[in-house]
Amino acid sequence: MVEWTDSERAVITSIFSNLDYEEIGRKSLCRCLIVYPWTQRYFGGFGNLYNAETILCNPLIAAHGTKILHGLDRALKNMDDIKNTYAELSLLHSDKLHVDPDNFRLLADCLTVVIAAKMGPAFTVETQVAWQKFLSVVVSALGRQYH
Amino acid sequence: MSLSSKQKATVKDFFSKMSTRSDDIGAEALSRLVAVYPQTKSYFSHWKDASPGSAPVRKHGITIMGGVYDAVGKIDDLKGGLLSLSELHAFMLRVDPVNFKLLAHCMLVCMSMIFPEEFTPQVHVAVDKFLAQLTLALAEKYR
Repeated sequence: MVEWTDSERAVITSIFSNLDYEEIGRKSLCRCLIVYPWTQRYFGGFGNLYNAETILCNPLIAAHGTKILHGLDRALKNMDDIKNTYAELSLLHSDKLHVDPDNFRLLADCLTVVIAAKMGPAFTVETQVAWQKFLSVVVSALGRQYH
Repeated sequence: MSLSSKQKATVKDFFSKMSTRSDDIGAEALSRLVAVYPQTKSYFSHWKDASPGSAPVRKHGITIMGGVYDAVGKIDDLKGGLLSLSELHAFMLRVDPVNFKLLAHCMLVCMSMIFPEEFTPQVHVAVDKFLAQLTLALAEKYR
């Protein structure tokens, strides 16, 4: 079981309570598709992904980014058992969506970059440590049920 | 995954914009590396204090960033230009190359924090590719 200090819980809770899910979700997924273009393989049915400009204007991608970010709410609400909270989602990504779990790490890194841009100097070292710890637990949980 | 001429220009342009804050970015990036990935402190056991924000960490971060800027000037031939640095890392320092990726990530986070408007996805991909090429050139002499 992952141990969280009070300060880490406070940091994570604070980030989520100030989060614009639509803005950050859209920006993070778009950034992932642009910076790591092979991730586009999972978005064949999402319309025009021809270049960075079209990706950034794509409403289906924007909506999906928001959906993904709301998916993190579950981890926030169950920080003491993220592993089991995501067991079903992990199976979904493995058996139905066939997503290489390394992509979770790529998206997590893009999310970190977007949040850093939004928060600026408020994204302190301690904040980054707690945030990346949270994301690495989520990423690990999502990859756990692959077989 | 080599850089197009447009991406090389993007990298040079962004690093030029960044130059007034390059010391801060270097110092912050190394601080964040040792904080977020504590295993990286293993390379700094000879320092009295390898904690984030400490004087030796900040100083070394600035040195590393200087090396990165030097590499921007050699962007058309990183392998050739970074030959002696590669030998240093291969035979003397022997830093596991996986750590270059971790430091690159911390640099990107700092660039994003300090230049949120300029660090667009297009700039991000160009800089990420450049740092990956730099990493390859640095690891060239490892084996």
